[in-house]
Amino acid sequence: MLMRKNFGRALCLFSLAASFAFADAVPVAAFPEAGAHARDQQLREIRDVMRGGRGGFVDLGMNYTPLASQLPLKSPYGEHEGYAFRQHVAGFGSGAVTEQSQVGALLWFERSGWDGEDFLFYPQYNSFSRVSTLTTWGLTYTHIASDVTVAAGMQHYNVEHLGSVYPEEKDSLLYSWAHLRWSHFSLQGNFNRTDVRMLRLSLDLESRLVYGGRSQGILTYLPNIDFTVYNRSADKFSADTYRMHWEQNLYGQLLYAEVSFDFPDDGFHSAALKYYPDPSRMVAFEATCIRRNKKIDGTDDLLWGGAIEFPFVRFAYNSAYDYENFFHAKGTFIVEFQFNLASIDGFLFARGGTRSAPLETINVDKKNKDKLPEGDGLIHLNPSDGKTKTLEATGIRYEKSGTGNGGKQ
Amino acid sequence: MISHVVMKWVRHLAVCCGLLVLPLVLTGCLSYLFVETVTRLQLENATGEYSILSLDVVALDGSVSSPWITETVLPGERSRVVERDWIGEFKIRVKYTESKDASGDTLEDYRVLDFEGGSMFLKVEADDGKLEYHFR
Repeated sequence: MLMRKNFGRALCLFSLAASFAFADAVPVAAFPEAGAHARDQQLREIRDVMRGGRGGFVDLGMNYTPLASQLPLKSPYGEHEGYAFRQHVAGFGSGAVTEQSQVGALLWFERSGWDGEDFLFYPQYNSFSRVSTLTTWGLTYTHIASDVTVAAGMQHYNVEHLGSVYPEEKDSLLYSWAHLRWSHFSLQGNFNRTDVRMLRLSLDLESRLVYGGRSQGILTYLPNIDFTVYNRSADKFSADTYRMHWEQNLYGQLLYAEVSFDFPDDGFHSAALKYYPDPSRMVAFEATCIRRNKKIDGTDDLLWGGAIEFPFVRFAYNSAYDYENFFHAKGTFIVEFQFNLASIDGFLFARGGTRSAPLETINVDKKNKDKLPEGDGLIHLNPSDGKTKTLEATGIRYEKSGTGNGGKQ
Repeated sequence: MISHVVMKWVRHLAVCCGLLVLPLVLTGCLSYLFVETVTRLQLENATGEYSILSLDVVALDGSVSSPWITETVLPGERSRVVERDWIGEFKIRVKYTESKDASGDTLEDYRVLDFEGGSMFLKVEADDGKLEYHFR
């Protein structure tokens, strides 16, 4: 027993030591493309939340890297100790304006980059810091009977601080976006002034109980496919011009496979096997594989990793999500404090979930307390009759003295 | 009676402080109180025979450089303290001349040094015509 305990401890210490000792630095070249990735990621999340077009959604998250040596910055000068960071918050709410119409508003916010200090609100802004914020907001309209959602808004990308070691980066407060959904189909666009930056056609064919679909059966095995066209020349997007993403339910909306391909040249981009113990997706176990970016990492080999997600925290090692959204972070355990919850028609689930979380409110019929059954043994007090009466009920003894003397005998 | 009110306030304050401190500690955003995030460098020329013209940090491939100490430090002198954001292992370039009055040809010496942050005093000595670096 003792030996097993010691072995467990040693294993834990070893994995901790290994995760810090072999932690890889985040390359400066990963930052200029991060803005385009973040804009795309936010619009993907909005697409997921807009599947219902109504209800509400909240999201909070921040990465936690406790040591300055955990995710150093790799610049031409070497490795600078400090902290890569990413904080995000999002919200969506809607309400009925007529019986069939719902109007809502949404706001997605992210602040990310690298800084010499770990901070909550005020970065150090040193010579090697890079701090950027991205705000996406919009208004939504949903017509329930025809199952149509129209949403549009702006995206403001702002580089707050850019150290001298980073490649030049363009930001703009003038990105706009639009989203049109009809039933299981949606079309999304992202624009900068009059340029089209991104167009995405999504076919969310899978039947989901939370949106009025099935909880089981063949319809839940239909795939979710999206096809995205990126304006690569304008955005320096690492992906090639087209990307196809396929999500497939493998077993009872608990086990999913995801794969994405870039066309026409790059081919395989990433794949994942995800297990959700509950279809609400509050908890997730995932094994991922992503093809590394040759331009930035100097190699295009496959990065294998995994993650475990609980309602308030996520642990990941070399996961595809962090590689893509956290400046190619790898080689270290990454902790993210995060929480997200969507609701529609009283169903509660995490983003992308298909059925409600097992924390349903149980409605208990109200009992009419005034109509107590006869002969319940309850003696009603009448303070005016001056007599001391005793009430006994389930072990509580209550005595009432006479009136007129302030209760004193 | 008053002590009850005070106790209540203390309890409320403690809860508020706890709620405030918890995220701060969790996010580690107080770590700059315990971890150095800048290096304040002072250089002493203890070579006795060479004049140090400057100290720069250079890129590993030599493509770019960033000046750190730009004043000439004659033998026996100390430079001013200069604060920069270098924390980690970096390659430095020291430009010097083989004279006591900074005259003559400029020579260059490269070395990789570990800057841990905080106040760092770099003593440069000469040993058989080579520069030796010691942090004190």
